[in-house]
Amino acid sequence: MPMDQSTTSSNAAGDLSNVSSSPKFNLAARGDGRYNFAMRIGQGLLAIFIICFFGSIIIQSIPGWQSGGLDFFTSTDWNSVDLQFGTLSLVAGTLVTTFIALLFAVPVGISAALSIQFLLHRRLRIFFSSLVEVLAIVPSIVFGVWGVVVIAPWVQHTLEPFLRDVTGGAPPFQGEIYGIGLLLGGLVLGVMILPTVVAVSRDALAMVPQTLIEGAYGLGATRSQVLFRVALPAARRGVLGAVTLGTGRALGETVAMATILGGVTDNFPSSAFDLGATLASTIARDFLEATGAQVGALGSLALILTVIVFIVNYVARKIIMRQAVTL
Amino acid sequence: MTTMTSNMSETDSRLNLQQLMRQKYRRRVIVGNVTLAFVLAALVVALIPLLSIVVSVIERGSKVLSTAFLTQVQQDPFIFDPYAIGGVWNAIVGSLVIDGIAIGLAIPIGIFSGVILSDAKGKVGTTIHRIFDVMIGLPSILFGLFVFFILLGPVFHDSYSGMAGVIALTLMSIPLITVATESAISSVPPTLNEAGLALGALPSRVMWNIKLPAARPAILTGVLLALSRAVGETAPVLFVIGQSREANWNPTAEQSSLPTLTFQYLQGFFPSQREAAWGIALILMTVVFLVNLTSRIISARSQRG
Repeated sequence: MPMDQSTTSSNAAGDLSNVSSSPKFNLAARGDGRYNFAMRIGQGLLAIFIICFFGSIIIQSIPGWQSGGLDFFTSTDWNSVDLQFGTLSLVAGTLVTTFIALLFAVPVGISAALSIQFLLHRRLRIFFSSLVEVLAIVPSIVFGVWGVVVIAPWVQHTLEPFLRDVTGGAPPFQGEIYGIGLLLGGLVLGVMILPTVVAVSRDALAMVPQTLIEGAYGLGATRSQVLFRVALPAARRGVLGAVTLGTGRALGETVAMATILGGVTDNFPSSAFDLGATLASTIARDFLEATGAQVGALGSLALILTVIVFIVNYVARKIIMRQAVTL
Repeated sequence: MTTMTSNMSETDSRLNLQQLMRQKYRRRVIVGNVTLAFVLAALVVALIPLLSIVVSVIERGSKVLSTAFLTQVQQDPFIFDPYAIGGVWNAIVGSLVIDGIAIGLAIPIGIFSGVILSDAKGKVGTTIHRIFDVMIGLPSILFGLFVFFILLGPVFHDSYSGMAGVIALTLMSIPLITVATESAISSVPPTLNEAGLALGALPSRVMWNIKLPAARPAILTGVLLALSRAVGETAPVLFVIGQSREANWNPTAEQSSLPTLTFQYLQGFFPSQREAAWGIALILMTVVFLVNLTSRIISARSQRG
């Protein structure tokens, strides 16, 4: 192979585009054999780490599949007392709370990012963007404390009765009101991922070239047209990344959901007021007391969660790729 | 006569056109202003819960915070007094020990992995890169489960240990630091790299003496971000460190940490436990704020320099 390369480069002696791939130019890299070797070894170690990590998650989940069979995916009954392990309710609880969270955080978060970046005075912009950046790393347990103590009574006495009265008890706003439950969980998740969505979207909006915005103003666009037809489309990859990040956090949130949802694991949600559980919250609540078959079943919940996170990331990447092409 | 009428209709239509344009312009302005009003309203909607969190944590937390709260250990369950709050010193010690060792381990491993990743090309390199990107968003509870399943039995003989929590948090922090390092190194201008190579320096020397120093502020920001996440994480350490009620500086013993104690208190029913949870929330928020402030000062200084 080296022979081959040297002959082609000597054939095209005057061709500058070939220089970088010629062996002579790479002499420096070749002389640094030890460094390259270390890098190669390091890459191998990283690959082994990744394989071990995901391999262990897969292996630990095998007992869970084996005990339940097809029921594991289709049954809504997760009950650790008589060892019934159907995951459908938990998957539904995870998706419903994440959906409610996104319903709140995406429109509010993107609009807030737009107004912080383009509508506020410079000082206010710096203040608010610092505020959301700090709040984005506030531990989720703090949001959990706030959700249980401050927001749960408000949801119970104001929001849920209001929703029920307005819709006349039509689905999904029917049934008993507990205060805690899926709606509260979704709202707290929404507030939790809101700073992330705002901070990352604002970063993306700040990257939009000033010339693009000035050009739009120069053509006579109004402020809202500049915001929604120029700035937002130009920053859409970053904004989509922000939403993906928020979705990942919402799917995997553990301790806050374990305290807020009520921990009812055998109820397929039919109302936003229902008590429920998510994949991660069930692991957190049951793991310490789990024995035998239940440990394996909880391990397989971890695999389902991992698969969901990977699917979300994959879909987001596909959307970003497609937009890059159409751009 | 015919020319007159045609002139008339021309001015007429011009007038109409002007009117139409004015109407359209007015509509455009109204629609634009209404949209802007909605956008600003969304900002207010976003700020209400966020400020509510900040205010309630500071207000309720500061009522609880005292020297006794910070220096005494958690209440003994056998002499549990539902009206006394007790302290959190055991959790503070546990958090200091666990987070300190974890971040100390994660920094060299993470930075080295970042260097490797910045150098990795080809199919394997991009695959590793992509998986690390996903690992940042992976639910943190998975790292705790990993340690529980793989290490707790063979290494820790099925007993709770602070070291198991250290490993879980280290594993969680490594992808954060790795990806931050990689993006910091790859955003160093390529001219610097080429200049170093052209002067005859080996790639290892260029990496160590040129690229890494140039990337240092951004790497530090990544490290501080990982630190503030590690401090606040409950899920990875929940199953593996136990619930020590005594303060001990020995990392291999059963430990406690601030977030896990908060979780424990939130599961309880006594008002005093809820109050103590607010106190810990204030401590955690202060730590996160201070870490964030440090990283801001670092990045501001590097931009000036």
